[in-house]
Amino acid sequence: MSDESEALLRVDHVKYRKAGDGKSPIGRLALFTDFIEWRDNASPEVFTCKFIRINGQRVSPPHKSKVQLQLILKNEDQATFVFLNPSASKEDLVKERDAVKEALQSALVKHRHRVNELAKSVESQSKQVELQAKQKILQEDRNLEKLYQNLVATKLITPDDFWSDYYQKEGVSEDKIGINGAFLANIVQQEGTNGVRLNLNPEIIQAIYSTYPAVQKKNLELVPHEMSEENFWKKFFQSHYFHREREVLPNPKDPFAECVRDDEEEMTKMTAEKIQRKRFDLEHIDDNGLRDFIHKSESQQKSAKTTLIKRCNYLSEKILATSWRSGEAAPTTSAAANQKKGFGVLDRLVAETETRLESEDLATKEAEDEVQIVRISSSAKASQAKYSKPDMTRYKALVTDYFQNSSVEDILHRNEMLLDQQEMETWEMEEAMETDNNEVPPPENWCQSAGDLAKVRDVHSAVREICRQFWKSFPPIDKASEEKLNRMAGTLSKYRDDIRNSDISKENLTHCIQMIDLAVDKFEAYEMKKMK
Amino acid sequence: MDDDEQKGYTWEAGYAEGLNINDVLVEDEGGSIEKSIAKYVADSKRKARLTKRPERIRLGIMRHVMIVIDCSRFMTSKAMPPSRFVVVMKALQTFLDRFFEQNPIAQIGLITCKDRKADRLTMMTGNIRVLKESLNTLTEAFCGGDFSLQNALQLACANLKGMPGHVSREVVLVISALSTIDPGNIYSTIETMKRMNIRCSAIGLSAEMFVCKEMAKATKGEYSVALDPDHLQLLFSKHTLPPSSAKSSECNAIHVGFPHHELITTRSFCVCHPDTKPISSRGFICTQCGARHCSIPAECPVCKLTLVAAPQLARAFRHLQPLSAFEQIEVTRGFCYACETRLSGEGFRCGSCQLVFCLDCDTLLHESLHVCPGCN
Repeated sequence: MSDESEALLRVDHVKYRKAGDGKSPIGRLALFTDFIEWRDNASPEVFTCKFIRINGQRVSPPHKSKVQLQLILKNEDQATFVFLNPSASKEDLVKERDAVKEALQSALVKHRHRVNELAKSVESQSKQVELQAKQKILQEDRNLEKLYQNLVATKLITPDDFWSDYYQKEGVSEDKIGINGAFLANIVQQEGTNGVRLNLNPEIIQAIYSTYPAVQKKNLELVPHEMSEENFWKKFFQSHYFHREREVLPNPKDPFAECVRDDEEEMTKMTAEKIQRKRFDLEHIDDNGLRDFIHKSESQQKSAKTTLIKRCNYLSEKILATSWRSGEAAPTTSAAANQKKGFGVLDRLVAETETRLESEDLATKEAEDEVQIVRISSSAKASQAKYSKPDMTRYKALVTDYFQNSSVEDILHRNEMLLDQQEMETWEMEEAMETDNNEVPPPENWCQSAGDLAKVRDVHSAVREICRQFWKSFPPIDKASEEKLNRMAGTLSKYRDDIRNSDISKENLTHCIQMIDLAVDKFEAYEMKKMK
Repeated sequence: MDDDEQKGYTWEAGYAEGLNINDVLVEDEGGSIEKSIAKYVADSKRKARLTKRPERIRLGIMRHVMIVIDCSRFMTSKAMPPSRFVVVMKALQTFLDRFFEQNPIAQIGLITCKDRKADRLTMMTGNIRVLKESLNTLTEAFCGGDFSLQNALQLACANLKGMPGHVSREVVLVISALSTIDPGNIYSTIETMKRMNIRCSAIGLSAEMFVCKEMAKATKGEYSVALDPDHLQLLFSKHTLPPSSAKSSECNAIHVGFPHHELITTRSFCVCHPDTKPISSRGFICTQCGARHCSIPAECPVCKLTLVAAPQLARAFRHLQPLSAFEQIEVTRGFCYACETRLSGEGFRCGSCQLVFCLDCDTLLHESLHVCPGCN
């Protein structure tokens, strides 16, 4: 275990203070990615401490003579290391110890982050989720369940084929969500007796982490070792980090003090970044030649307003930055001065707008873009009946007369009576005879019992499903679909024999056999063509 | 000096005059501009009636349209009484009817966008009953959260991806929100839609948004904002017309079946009513696989063959050679050629046969019949 990974840091002449009696031995301290190790110089003794056991670390105060580093472990244990290089001065030792402390701290943070990620991924094992979703689909749709039982359980269709149609992972929903600009303001507040109560949920916390990555880092460092989750968030919202009037320097004990300092740095960097827009470049068209000679003191009114404005702008920039981070890493083609990643399209749009000499709004509507002409032969026209003038007037008079004088009922009845009564009756009789001969009884009358009918229904759905799988793989484009085609053709003939031999009455199966025959014929024709 | 200050600067007045705001939005005695909005809507209707539709250009007849319905909290706004949501649902129901009337072999899918997430409500289908039923499952209480344009477009893209190349792919968004909250860069999504030849159009309900305008411009779609429920119906009906097809889309010969409406003589279940029984003893047998259907046009779920009746397909012809718009003229006497009612005020004259029709007949001829009774 020890020498698998490269040590991040090695320090010699470190004494390990053992809890028991005896002289504390001197040895070497080595820091790895997952644990810290101390080897005794003299004996083969090794002290290993995995990061999961470490709660925190402490250093000895500067006025003490000894330079020590203490690890605080989970079960109230402590491990103390004394830095004792005889050739080095005290400052050097302090520097060495601090280097170890920093390295250990960052390694700890990374380790915890890794553990969290692992925990999250194990929870959302995609395979499990898929299985559950499939079970749910079968539970909700009885027909599908029956199909599944009949076809997949009996190995007529492979589960993959079945699920490729009924279970869809893609195209059902899009879950990644952006961050609302007002998310901090929208946190539900309740006025309590001695303060305000805020309701946080994982969504809000995730939004805070993506917008302010420094807070996430702090959380990993401090929770749950130095303070509880609740305490952490209480400190966050109470800290000057969150308040808008941050003129007073923040309390140095405040865990967010360094976050505040980092933010100030970032804000000044952002305001220094300039966006070049040709049309809004007032300095370019400025004709005040004396500007360089007059020195105006940059008076920044440090009022609460400017701080507030700065903070609002900063929040917007951070939120935008989250979408750049999750977006593509494609480099922009436009000017390197514009550091905005992934906005190549917008830049191109802007460039187009600026170089355009004519205004779009004032332009006359240009002709429609590319259309393709279709040639239609003049013979492809519907024919129209032509009526002579007297006929035309007669019909028109008839129709207007109807509409003006009779109601809808009258018109319909009148038309019926126009037909010869005798003719009507013969026609009806003929229809009846035809249907008698060929009429299919309603499904209720097909079988003796409802159970039998259900079986017949199942067979029909099964045939439909097998045929569907067959037609899906037709025509085959590659080896896999060829294989599937052959397999389905085999399944079809087998199923046809099965149902022929089953005890369901022939009449109820005619349609199924017809469908299978059509498919098998097509397959055979295809085979013949292939052989030629 | 005082006088000038009260009137404002001269250049201001000159600028405002040029904009003609007072002409377009005339306020009546109560200060309301509803009348001018109604006038504007009526004007657009008239313009739509009189525009000359291009003839004999290649159109995308096999359309696959994804309709994205904004279900954010802005839909509950009462700006369009009783609420935007109710108005949109009603408009969608009429739109579905008209759409399938004009485009029998097209398919529609539904997507809702609630709380920055996009969910597919219905898969692509040509079955209007299924679509109407899913629309009925949406309620106003369901709406909430914010709208995300990127998620909606990405979901539509994922659903349209699998379609063959000769199909006209479209997305119609109904947006009531004034902002979009996206997980990534929306402009790259717009580029993707453009690359995949998906025509994205949008109908706004509140105000015009730059990002929607850019999306429509880039993908050759249409974007307009509805002023009132009538205008919304008008904007929807514009989408029932098939769009001109892009040069880059492939043209393939498509396999289509023309089954006869016949009396079915075998005992069979139909694919459209698998749990109960076929609605009539007459039906259609798919020419390729033999499955039974109760109505066409349909896409056979067993063999994926498009089944249509020849007259329905011929309907597509009318889009290729639309009846040209009639000229509006002033008439004080005479009768409408079609219905013999007395003409008063306005009449519509056919360009080729010079016969005059009244407003109702003109609407009927252009929307339903597509032939001029006077032309031979």
